[in-house]
Order: sequence, then C-alpha cells, then structure tokens
Amino acid sequence: MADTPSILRPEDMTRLANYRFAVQMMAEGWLSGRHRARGRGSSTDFLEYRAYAPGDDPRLIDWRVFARTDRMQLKTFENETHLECHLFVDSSASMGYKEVGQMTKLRYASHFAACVAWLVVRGNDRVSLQLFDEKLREYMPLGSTTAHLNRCLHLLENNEPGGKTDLPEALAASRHLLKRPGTLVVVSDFLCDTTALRAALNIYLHRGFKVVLVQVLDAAELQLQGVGVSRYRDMETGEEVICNPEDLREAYAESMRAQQQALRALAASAGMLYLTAKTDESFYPLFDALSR
Amino acid sequence: MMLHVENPVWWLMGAALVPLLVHLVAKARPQRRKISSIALLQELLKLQTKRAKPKDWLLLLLRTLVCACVAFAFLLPYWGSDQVGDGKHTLMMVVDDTASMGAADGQQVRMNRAVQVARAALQELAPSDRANMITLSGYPAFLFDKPESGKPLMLRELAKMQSKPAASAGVYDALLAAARQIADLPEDKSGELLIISDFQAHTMQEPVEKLLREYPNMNIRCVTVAQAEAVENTTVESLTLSPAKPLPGQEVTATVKLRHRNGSTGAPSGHVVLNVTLAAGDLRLSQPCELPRDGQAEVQFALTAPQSGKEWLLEARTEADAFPEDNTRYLVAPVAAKLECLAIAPDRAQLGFMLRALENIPFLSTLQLPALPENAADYVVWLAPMQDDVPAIRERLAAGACVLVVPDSVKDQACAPLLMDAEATYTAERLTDGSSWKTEIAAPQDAVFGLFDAASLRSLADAGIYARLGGEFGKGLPVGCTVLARYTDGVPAVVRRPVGRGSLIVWNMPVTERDSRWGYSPMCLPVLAEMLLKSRTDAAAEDAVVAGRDCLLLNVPAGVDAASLRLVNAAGEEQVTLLQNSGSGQVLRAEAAATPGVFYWMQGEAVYASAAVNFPIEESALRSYTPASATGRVQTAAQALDTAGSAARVELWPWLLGLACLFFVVELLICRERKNERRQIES
Repeated sequence: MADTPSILRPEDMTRLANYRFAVQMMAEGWLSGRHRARGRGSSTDFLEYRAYAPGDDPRLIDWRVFARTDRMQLKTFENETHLECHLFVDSSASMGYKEVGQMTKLRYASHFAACVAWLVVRGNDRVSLQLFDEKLREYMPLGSTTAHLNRCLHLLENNEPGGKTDLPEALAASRHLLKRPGTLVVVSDFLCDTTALRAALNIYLHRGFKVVLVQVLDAAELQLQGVGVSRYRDMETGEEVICNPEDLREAYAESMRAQQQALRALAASAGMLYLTAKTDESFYPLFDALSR
Repeated sequence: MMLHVENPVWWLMGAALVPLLVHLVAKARPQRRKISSIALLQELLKLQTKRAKPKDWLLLLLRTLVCACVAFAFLLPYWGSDQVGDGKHTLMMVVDDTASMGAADGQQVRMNRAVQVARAALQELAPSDRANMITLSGYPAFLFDKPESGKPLMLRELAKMQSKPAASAGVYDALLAAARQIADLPEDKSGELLIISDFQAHTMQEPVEKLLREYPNMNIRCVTVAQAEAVENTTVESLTLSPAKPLPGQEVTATVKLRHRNGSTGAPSGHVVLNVTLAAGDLRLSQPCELPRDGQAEVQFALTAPQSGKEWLLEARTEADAFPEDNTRYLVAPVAAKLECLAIAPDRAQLGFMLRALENIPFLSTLQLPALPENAADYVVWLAPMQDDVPAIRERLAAGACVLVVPDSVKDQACAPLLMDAEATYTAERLTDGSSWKTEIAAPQDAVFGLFDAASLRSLADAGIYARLGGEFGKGLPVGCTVLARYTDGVPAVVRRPVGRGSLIVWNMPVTERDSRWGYSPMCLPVLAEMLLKSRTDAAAEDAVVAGRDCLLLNVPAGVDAASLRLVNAAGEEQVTLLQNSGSGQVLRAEAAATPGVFYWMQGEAVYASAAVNFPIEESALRSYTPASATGRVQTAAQALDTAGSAARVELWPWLLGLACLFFVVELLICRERKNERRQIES
C-alpha cells in the first residue's frame, strides 16, 4: 500500500484494522461468501420450513417432518454470498463548505468513503463508487482488487466540489448500473427535499438494497452563522440573500433539527440506517454502526 | 375646542417618513457569507416577511414616532378655541418697537407684552384671513407691501422682535399708511387697525389723535402695553465737555446733566440720590448726585485732557433703573494739539498786532485770508466785517466757532445785528489832540482774567487808545453779553456774547499801532490768548448719529485705503460696512442702523476714529396717555389677551418634544439590549 493515495490515511487504517464492514443485511452476491444473502441458498445455515409446492426440488423435502406430520415440508437454508457495497459520494458544490471543521465536507466524506472502500475490499467483498452532483460524475464499477481500490481512492483523492446537488436524480440515474441488491452507502449533506429522496431510494429499497444514509455536515451549518445583516451566497446556485441572521438564527436551527429529524424518520420507516457526522468530529464511531 | 397649528407647514410632517425611507433606501453593507444551501434560508425569510419580527417593527415605529413628534412640534400645534373665518378679514397691526418699549413696568417688559398681544391677535385670524404689520422704530417699515395671509411668517417675525434703542422718525406717516391699507380694502372685506404701543404721550399722542380724527369710522383698536401711566425713570440727558475741543493736557470740565421723571402724579416728592460715574479713558470718577424728583440736576467733573491722541472717549453712567437704556451717555471729544484760527483781513498789515499775537499764541494755527473760506475753524478773527458778512458770521457761530470781530474804524453796521439782533450803525471816534482813551477790566471775576491780577493788567489799562466805536455802542446790550473790558467813560472795549453754539467777541479797539497802544503791552498776548481760550463754547455737539435712524459714516480721507478700514463695536464685533462714492470722495457707511454704544473705525489694529451713538433722549419720557377719542376701542394688554381667548389655549409642542424624547429613550434601550445580545453571540 505504499502508493496508497493520501485520502486513505494510515491512522485511519490503524484505527479501523479490527473492523469488518458488515452491515446487518442480506447480501446478494453471485459468489458464495461470508455474507448471508436474503434468498434461500445452499449454505448450511437453516432458514425455515415451507410447504412443498409442485416444482420444488424433492431433495429439499424433510422426510422426518413428513413422517411425523404427513405433510411435505421443504427445509430451506440461507444463501451465503459476496457483499456488494455501492458508495455514493455527493460531490456537489455545497460539499465544499468549511467553517468550523478542519476540512470541507467533501474531503471528510471522501476520507470516510475511502475507509469504507478499504474495509470492503479488505474483506474480499466488492465495492463500487459513484461521485455525483446533479448527475453522475464518476462511476467506478464493482471490484474487489487492490488495484480497484486504488482507482477508487484516486477518484476520491482528486474529487473536487462540482455543481448543484440533485441526489434523487443522481440515485435514479444510477439504478440501472446496480444489477444486484447490495449495500448502498450514500454520503451527502442531504440538504434536499426528503420526499424526493424517499421516492428515489424506494427504487433501491424495493430491489432489496440495504441503504445507509451518512449525513456529513459542518457544525456551523446547524447554527446560522453571522452577526448583523449578512449576505448569504448559495455555494451551488450562486443565489444571494440578505438577511439578519439574528432574526433567523433560532428558526434556522429549528429547521435544521427538523430536517435531520425528517431524515431520521425516513430512514426508520424504510429500514435504512441513518448516520450523521460533523466535520469537526471523528467518523470512527460511524463504523461501529456499520460493522454490526 | 380643537387642534390648531400656528405654523401650518404640513410638508414638514414628511420628516416622519425619514426612518422608513432610510430603512428602505439605506444600503446595508452586509458581511459576505457562504452557505451550503440557501433554500432553507429563503423559506425562513418567506416566513419572516409574513410575520416580521415585532422588535424591528417596534424600532421602526419608535423612530417614525420620534420624527413625527419633532416635525409636528415645529408646526406649533395647540389645543384651543375654534377659528372661524371666511378669509374676508384683514388685520393691520402697528407694533411699536421703539426704545420706550424696552421699559419694564410691572413684571414684564412692554415689548414682550406687545408681542403676546400681537400673537394672540394673529391667532384669532382664520388661515385665509390677511394681515400685515408695521413697526415704528427708526424708519417705520411694513412687513409686506400689502396684507397677506402669511401668518407663519408674521409669527416668526414676532418671535424675534425686540425693542430697538431708537425713536420713530414718522409715527403719523406710519399710522396713516397702515390706515390706508385698511381703507383701500374692497367693500366686501372687513379690516381692523390694531395699534399696540405704550402710547408715549409726547411721541404717540398727536399722531394717534390725528389719525382717529381722520378716520373716525375705521375699526381702530388701541392696545396699550404700558401698565403704569408713567414710569419713574432717571436719564442721563447730556454729557458735555468744556471746552468741547480741549488741548492736550488742558484742564476741562465734564458736565453730566441728569433728569428724573416721576412715576405718577402721586409719587413722593423730594430727592433721589444717585451715583454718577464718569469714565474717561482709564480714569473712573464717581460723584453722588441729589436729583430732585421730576427735576434736573447736573454733576461736574474736573478732568485733564489726555496728552496724546486725537479723540477722548467719555462715558457717563448712573445706576440702572426700570429703563436702563437711557442711563448711559457717551461723548467722543476731539483733542487738538492746535486750534485753527482764520484771520480775515484784506492784507496782513491791517491786522497789526492782532495777527502777530495770534501767530505767536502756541495753541493756535493761524492763517490769514482775505475772505472767509468754507472750511470750519475753531476761531475766526474778522477785521471790519460788513453788514453782508453778518449771516456768514452767524453761521460760524452756530457751528460752534469763536468769532472775534474788530469793527470798522470808520462806520460799522455788523456789530449791532450780531450783538443786539438789531440794525444800527455805529460811527467811529478818533482822538487827534494827543489825548487817548484808557481802558479798564470790567469783569475781573471772569475766567478770562483768572490767571492775572490787577497789577499785572495795569499796563493794558494804561495803554492809550485813539480810535473806537463810540456814541450809542454798548447801550442796551442784551442779557448774556459780558463786557470784559471797557473804556473809562463806560463804552465797552471788549464784549462777549454767546451766540448759537459759539461765542462772539467784539473787540472795540483798533489793532494797529497807530491807533492803539495795547499791542505794546507785554500782557496783550496772554490776555488775548486767555480770552480766546476761555471764551470757547462748552456746548456739546448734537449727536451726529441718531440711534435707530442713522448709520455710522466715515469720510475716507485721501491717501487712506478704504479697504483697510473696518468698523467694530465696543465688544470687538465687526460691523458690515459699504463703500460709497460721494461728491467729496469715498464714504464708508455701516449697513445697519446705529445702536447706542461706542464704535471704532479700525485701521489694522489701530483705532483710526471713534464714534459714539447715544440713546434717543425723547424716548426717556415714559409717560403714557390713553387715546381719548378712541373711547371704547382702547384695551389693556390683559384685556386684549382675554379677548383673544389665549388663556384657554394649550400649547402642545412641549408635550410633543417630551414624547419624542421618551420614544427616543425607549428606542435606545431596545438597541442597547440588541447590542448586548449580539455581543453574547459574538463571544
């Protein structure tokens, strides 16, 4: 790993060495692997009994049950497969925001994504990377080799804030690229409409994707900054607005809390994992949740 | 009762919009900040515009209220009785602002009461009614050419009106002009002539009565602001110097004449003891004076004229009373190193020893001329004037010169008109038999002979005279004539008579050695010098500049740059002057009418000339009269104010200013609280 891009820091690797990326979900890989797939498969782990139906493999009939109950029950087993992790990293202009933290949100998200990718590849699983703003900017298909990881890291290393954000659009555009269900890790500031986001994620959820939403924010975004009348310029659209932050501070903080709450509710209702991180804090605690 | 405004400049209320305009127009210089997504902020702003923060509205409201209150206060609102009017009424106010209006009888100065009455009368008018005002001090002047509906302007003029230390130059003309403006009104319009004055008897009585006679049917209302018929007043009536034009170091006498006027007929008689102070340069002299009530007295001060300088400023002052303006009088006396003497004779020889003596008198600058020039002189010695010369001599005497006339040695027709105001011809007598007339001092107590004793004057008495006017000369001399020397047979030899502001000396002695031995006497020169010196008039010149009417003038002498001259008052304040060209050269003229006091024409830092302006003495008689022929139309100030109903009036502007202050304080407190909050956030 001598030529590992700096986006994957040695201290991160040291710190995360004992973690294993294993989002509690049913991975649905085409290779037999360590991760449980949602479908019934040929692993040794019993899943359930079900009534026989014409067309079922008679080899799966549990004859002992038939002897006891005169019913033909099929014994099914969990399917083990490779984990496929799809990393979505928001690279819009708003991710270039830096106020309180030591780095921009994009840099923070890139560090995080690099660590996830490293963990996935280290576990012989496959990882894909998509960088998007209002459209898909970069796409690195699934891969599990070190070379693949390096390419992903290079992409993250050279990732610069781009244009406007349109996360639902970007997710919708990517749905054809993801063939099988896997883990979808979306790293963004999620400063968008949650209804549209839900609609976009529903596509993946229905296909069996496990979705992890990682919201990266600068601590300053939770509280409106500025004293006295200020001119606020949108980093994506360039729109400006003049207001007195003192008048809006409370309402803004409340709105931000409400927005986070909405995201949390969205995640909870759809069985998604919602994680938040602030750029002035370490993202290591997130891996506790990701490794369960 | 309803709300009125005295000063209906409603556009001023636009000032209340200033905070709003500032709020809308003022460009804030906001901090530039980046934000990830502005959508949230925009959403919040939309909400905020729907329900603006009450604190901001409160601040804007408070600022608007402050401006509105201050602006409304300028409109001078008041709560008073309803004004009704159809715009057909015209009020012509004659406001007396002469010096006597500065007197304080009762608790208030007359002028203040006059202004109150005038304001009340104006406030009674409806906004569309017309009014005009004429003031009486100096040269009466109308505020407008014709009555106008400029009530606010008149109120402003009244607010700054003060009595001026000046008499009026034409009360009747002013009243007549005011009455004509009323008389010229169309028939469908009504008019009133309101005269607000203290009605001083000697200045107002005649004109007012004449006006009332001339316009018996005119609606004339006289409001007297004098609270007493007469005010007890002490006046410094005059300050004179004897001689009026002293020589440097000469002993002179300053005379201060005082006059007391009783307040009322029942006032106690007796005396008023006053302290009279005379300031002459750095010298201050003070003397008590017992001034009889309703009488006159004078105080004399012995002084020595200054050794240097060409002018001498004197100021006489008494204690201030109810009318302090007339308790001070100034005099700028010229101090001359030499007095000018003109010797009028066809040739020098005919003046004989007289010319020699005149030329040797040290304080005289003598010039012999064949005829009288136009320029003024302190002395004129005229040899053998003719009857035609009498007017010229009288003119010089009136101007204050001392004229010594030596009669014609044959036949004289000039002495009789000069001495006795009568036509007479005196024939000269001549002794040819070797005898002579002897003279004697007829008035040894006169100041002329104060330096000499009888023994020293013997040589003059023994000097023989061979020619003189005789016969009837000297008979029937009028009172006031002083025979200083006479012949032993009783014919006057030297007679002196004060005429006008000057002094006439008839020298009934020949001035040639052939006919008189006086010229040989060693006492001739000193006696002649003393005679000329002590016979000078001590009458003060009339005030050249009348306060309130005239402007100070200075004839710029040739060789002096007019631009280098400036006029300052005693306090050092520069007065505005105008340079004018007259026939005799350039004249510097003060722009404003003179006020009592001392003024200096400065050339650089040096005083070029001084001028004193005194209070017009006719304004000191504070005796008022009641216009008899205006019965029923005369009111006191109190009655006039009651009529105007001003007592029921409540001025609102102080309350408005108070409210403005209150709003301002509340606004400050809110701003302070916000500042504290901001500090907390910043920290």
